[in-house]
Amino acid sequence: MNRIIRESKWILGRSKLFTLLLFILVNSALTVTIFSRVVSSEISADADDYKKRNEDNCYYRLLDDLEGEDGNSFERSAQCKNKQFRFLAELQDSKDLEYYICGDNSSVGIVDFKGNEKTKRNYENGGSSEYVFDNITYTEVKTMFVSKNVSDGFDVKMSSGEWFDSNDYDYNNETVSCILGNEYEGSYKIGDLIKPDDNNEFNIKQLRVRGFLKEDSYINNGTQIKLLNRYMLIPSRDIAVSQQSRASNADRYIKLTGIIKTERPVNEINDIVKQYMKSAGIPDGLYYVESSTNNNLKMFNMDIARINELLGIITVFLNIFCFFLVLTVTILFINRNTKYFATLSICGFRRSEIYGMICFTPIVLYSLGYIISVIVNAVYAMFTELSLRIRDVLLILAEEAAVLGVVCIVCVLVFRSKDLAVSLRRR
Amino acid sequence: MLELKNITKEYNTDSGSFKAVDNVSLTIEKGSMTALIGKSGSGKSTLLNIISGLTKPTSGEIVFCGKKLGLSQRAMSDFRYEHIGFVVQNFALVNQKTAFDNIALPLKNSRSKKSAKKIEEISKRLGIYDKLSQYPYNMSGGECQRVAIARALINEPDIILADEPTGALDSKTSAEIMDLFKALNSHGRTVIIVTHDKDIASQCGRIIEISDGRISGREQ
Ligand SMILES: Nc1ncnc2c1ncn2[C@@H]1O[C@H](COP(=O)(O)OP(=O)(O)OP(=O)(O)O)[C@@H](O)[C@H]1O
Ligand SMILES: [Mg+2]
Repeated sequence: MNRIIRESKWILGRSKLFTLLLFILVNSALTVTIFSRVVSSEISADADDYKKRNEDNCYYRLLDDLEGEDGNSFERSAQCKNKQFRFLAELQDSKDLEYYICGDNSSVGIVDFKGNEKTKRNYENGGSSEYVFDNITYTEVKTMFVSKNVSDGFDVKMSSGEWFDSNDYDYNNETVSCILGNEYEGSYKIGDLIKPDDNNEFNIKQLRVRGFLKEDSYINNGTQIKLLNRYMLIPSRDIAVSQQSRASNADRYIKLTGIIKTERPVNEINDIVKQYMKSAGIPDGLYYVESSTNNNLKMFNMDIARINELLGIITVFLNIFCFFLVLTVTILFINRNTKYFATLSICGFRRSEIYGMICFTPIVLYSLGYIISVIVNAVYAMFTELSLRIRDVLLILAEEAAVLGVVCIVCVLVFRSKDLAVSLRRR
Repeated sequence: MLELKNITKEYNTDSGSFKAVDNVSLTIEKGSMTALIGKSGSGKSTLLNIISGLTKPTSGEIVFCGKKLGLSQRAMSDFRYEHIGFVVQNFALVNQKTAFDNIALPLKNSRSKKSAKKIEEISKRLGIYDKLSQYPYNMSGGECQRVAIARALINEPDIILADEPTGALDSKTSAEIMDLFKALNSHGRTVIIVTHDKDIASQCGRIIEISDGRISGREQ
């Protein structure tokens, strides 16, 4: 061992610059390989997470068509409210679908607004979100009335405070809880009271901040992923409470334009919804399921597949590149040093020792390259959200060891094919 | 101790196959001193390479101390490692290493005091002590030859193979080198020397003449 290392070091030392260059090349290739693997498995993990959450589920919006003649006459009819609430009850109790209320068409104006510009209702379209009534200035904010099950059905998590509990859905209280999106953080704190416009359609007298959402919480309404960072979430009043006469039109509107999550295809779900309407006594066509295909999930999966494919190609390409680079260099190295190895042979070096010397370069290149690239990636991962998974690190170790093994075997075979007696004759 | 049985080495050249060594059978006794003589191209170096295990014979077998030697590269290299000190025809010194480092090549631990002492001793005996820090390209042919001999002897092998060890030397140094080989032989080492020189050959206990790859004469 002693003399293998001695001679290997000596022979490598004769072409320092070249070895260094080769080392840098192999090292960067390995670093990129590991990096792309890390990114790829990060993406896959995200995708898995997304899939687990959404597996086999489709999202559809339940919409109404109350504007026309039929709609108007239905709304004027005596049992209208009761029929609607029965329909809602059918939806909420359904075994064939999950029904979520995520109403963001109504807005609430609040007094003494302290939040960030982006949370104003008209921030994106540039319009004004302020209005004055009785000499008080109100600021309209983005609000979303949500049912209690929204936090289970979508990627909605709290960064502080807690999700609504059943009491929050009982509007007979003077004060109603609200949960603020991530953009509100810093402007309000848990327990703060917010004064809304008294004339709101929901009879809310006062809002109390119950908590903040985690960044990038979202809901999926079948046609888009809706981030909740800029939203104020307010519980949509309990069905039982709503049913007691006080329910406003807005209240019902929100409750009956929700999001349906189901494993069934759109035509089946349409039939089911029609069935519920029929049993509630609502005329056909007043409510319907939006027949948008669930593009989001498909697109998302496709993008991931494409990125992963690309990363995979890069990785394979780099590995092959490294393999040929190291192989070529080692074979050149053998050819250049055959006489030297033959000399060592007559100096009592065993075959295995000479094989060891031949493999020394690729082994050193690969193992140092591997260690350094793991370190580089680990350091990089420390400063970013990426995580270096042990499984990936081991997988790449196994791959590189296999590649290294092939390099060594080929090099040893090349050396074995040489006639040492002939090389000794060379001057 | 060392027995060659029907050894043949064939080379495939452009003009058909060619037997560099042709059906040679030979026994070398332990502690003997043998000279291989013959014209240039008669196959002496090839035969020596076969004995050293550097060249694999096309057919035939080698028996060492009653045991047949395997002809795999590994077995041959193990045999060489354990028993052979080899001085090849054109020295095969590593040009980028000093004489000291060349002599130290076969040593496991060349930096130890013991190694340095061994090298000092042998180089003094061969008269190259003051050349130890020189590189081969700065040394005369005779000096190179002696460095090669020192390297072959440094691990004290039982069998010493020397291909034209006096080829580049004047008669005085040749005599000194031959005295060294004779001294080694009297200490029980087996010595095989390839030479053109009848004088040198006559100093060996036994002369074997080779022509066209065959043994054409033996003298005891
Ligand atoms: N690798 C080889 N391929 C083809 N022919 C070879 C090879 N090696 C040796 N020969 C031939 O074998 C014959 C014997 O060569 P060898 O070197 O053994 O001769 P030698 O007796 O040592 O000669 P010299 O006294 O000049 O050193 C020569 O004719 C040579 O050309
Ligand atoms: Mg010769």
